[in-house]
Amino acid sequence: MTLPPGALLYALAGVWITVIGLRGVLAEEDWFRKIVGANVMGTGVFLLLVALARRAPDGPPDPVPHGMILTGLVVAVSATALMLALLGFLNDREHGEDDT
Amino acid sequence: MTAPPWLLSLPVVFPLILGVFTLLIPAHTLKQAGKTGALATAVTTLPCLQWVWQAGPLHQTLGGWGAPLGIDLYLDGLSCLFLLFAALTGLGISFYATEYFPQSAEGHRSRTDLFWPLWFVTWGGINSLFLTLDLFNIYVTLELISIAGTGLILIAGTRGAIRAALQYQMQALIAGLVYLLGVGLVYNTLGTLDLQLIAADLSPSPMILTGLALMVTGLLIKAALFPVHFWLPPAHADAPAPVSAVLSGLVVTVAYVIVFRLWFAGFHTIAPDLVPRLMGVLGAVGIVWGGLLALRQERLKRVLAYSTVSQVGYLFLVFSLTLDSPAAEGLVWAGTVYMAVAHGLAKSAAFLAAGCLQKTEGSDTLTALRGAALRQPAAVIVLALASINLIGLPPSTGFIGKWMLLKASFYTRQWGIAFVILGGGLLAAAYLFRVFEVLMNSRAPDNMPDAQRDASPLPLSRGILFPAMLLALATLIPVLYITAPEELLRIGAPVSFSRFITPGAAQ
Repeated sequence: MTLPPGALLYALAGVWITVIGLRGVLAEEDWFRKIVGANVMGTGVFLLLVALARRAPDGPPDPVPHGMILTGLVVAVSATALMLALLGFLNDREHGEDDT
Repeated sequence: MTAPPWLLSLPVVFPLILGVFTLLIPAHTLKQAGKTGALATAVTTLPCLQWVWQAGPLHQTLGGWGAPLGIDLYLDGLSCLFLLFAALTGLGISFYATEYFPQSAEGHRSRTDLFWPLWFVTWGGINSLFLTLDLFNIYVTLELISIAGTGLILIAGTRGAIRAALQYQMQALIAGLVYLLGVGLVYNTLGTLDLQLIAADLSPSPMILTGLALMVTGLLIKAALFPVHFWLPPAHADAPAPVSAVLSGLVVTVAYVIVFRLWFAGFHTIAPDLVPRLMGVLGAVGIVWGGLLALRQERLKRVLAYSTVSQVGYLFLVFSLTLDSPAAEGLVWAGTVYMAVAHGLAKSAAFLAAGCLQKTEGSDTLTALRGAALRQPAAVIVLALASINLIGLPPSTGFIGKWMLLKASFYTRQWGIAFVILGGGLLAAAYLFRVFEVLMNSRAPDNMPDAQRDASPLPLSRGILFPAMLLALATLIPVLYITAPEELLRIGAPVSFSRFITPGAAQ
């Protein structure tokens, strides 16, 4: 299967953004930066999937990867919200009273 | 005979409904609801057993939408055995949890009450993962389990637990994205998400190979294979004991079973030899690394968590051992399944026993537990029974699984792996005997300074260890002389059992 040149550009950009995000998760020390990195990585993955869904230059795109991305977005948003809340708890604990 | 349309959906949907139900009912009725719900969930797997035993593998489509577009559920001997395993473990954990978590007063909800909704959702996800054939459904369900798992860890409420939960959720999100990327690439090439359709159409094209590599990598992180196990010890050790049992006994096993299924569904036919060899080497290093670190831990639950890292390693030897010799395939395949089940049961039992010791002694540090065998003999006996399995002593199922792997490694002349299997057993004996040396030390101080404790000791009800004891005893059923598990595994197995495993089982 060959991609139209435009879609190929998006696909490669998706791979690049994924790598940047993953680097952020692995290399950053600060948890807030790690969470941002995970979101950048998610964006890259979703961009790649969108680009691949473009099957032919003229035809309609494949809707199944779009469905996958929508679900992936929901997961990424919920996981991000959860992690931010946890980070908040952790900061409160560290500046507040001791462990219970 | 046609199967009722709800047969395979029931073990998935029923616990999910219970998850919502236990969130809504008054807190003081939760214990009763938890026990009844767990029993009912376990019972939903029995019709599956009856069907697979009498009529063989079963394929069902959901909502009238079949593959390639819809989601299919598939039941064979392997998935049925794991469903029963989850049912037994889940029952034990649920009955234990009703005694472990304090009862809430009427009209008042506490943090520990959230165990029930989160646990039932996790259980539904686990059953779903054993049954599903849809690659994308696997992604959604894994993320569901991860988010529920993060919530479960948080029940402990300590700073350590919050940090462990954060790390757990981060690894889950990243692993999920890597897996999803792989699914996208495979779908892009083959145009379907159904595992059986994909398996029929595999070719070693770069796109498919990259996709499969990404999928497997994502799953390896979730299964905590060395060197991507770093998130496991804090998560499993800092969670409350019933949650540790869920995560270490069930959730890790589920992630592994998906790799196992994908591999033998057809991935092994196109993957370059390097891949299974690498997984075998990482498994072997994991056995040793996890064992060595377990030896150095100062907390009982940490010892058990690193033991999980070590035991998961054994499960990955299968990919290397089935590589050269198709004749030994059935032996290794079944041996690995036995080891996975035995480890799940034994590790759950061990964590439940550790939870009892932690509560009654006020801490799970080895210094605080000195001489605990005199004060808490029942908990130490459960831990000992589970250890028989983890070390791999006869007549436990863990021994039989390990023996089968060892036999196959001799058969395929993979001496390095044989050495690691034997050495790993010694290592397990070392880190567990070190714990028992402390537990059985009779020169214990009469009253320990409170500074060594994390919390004040709490008395627990007598019956609490009963479910843990049953789980530990279940691993001692001599599967070598009972042909039923092997006959169940043969139903729809992707490998041929050319060499008999159980004396007397039909060949």
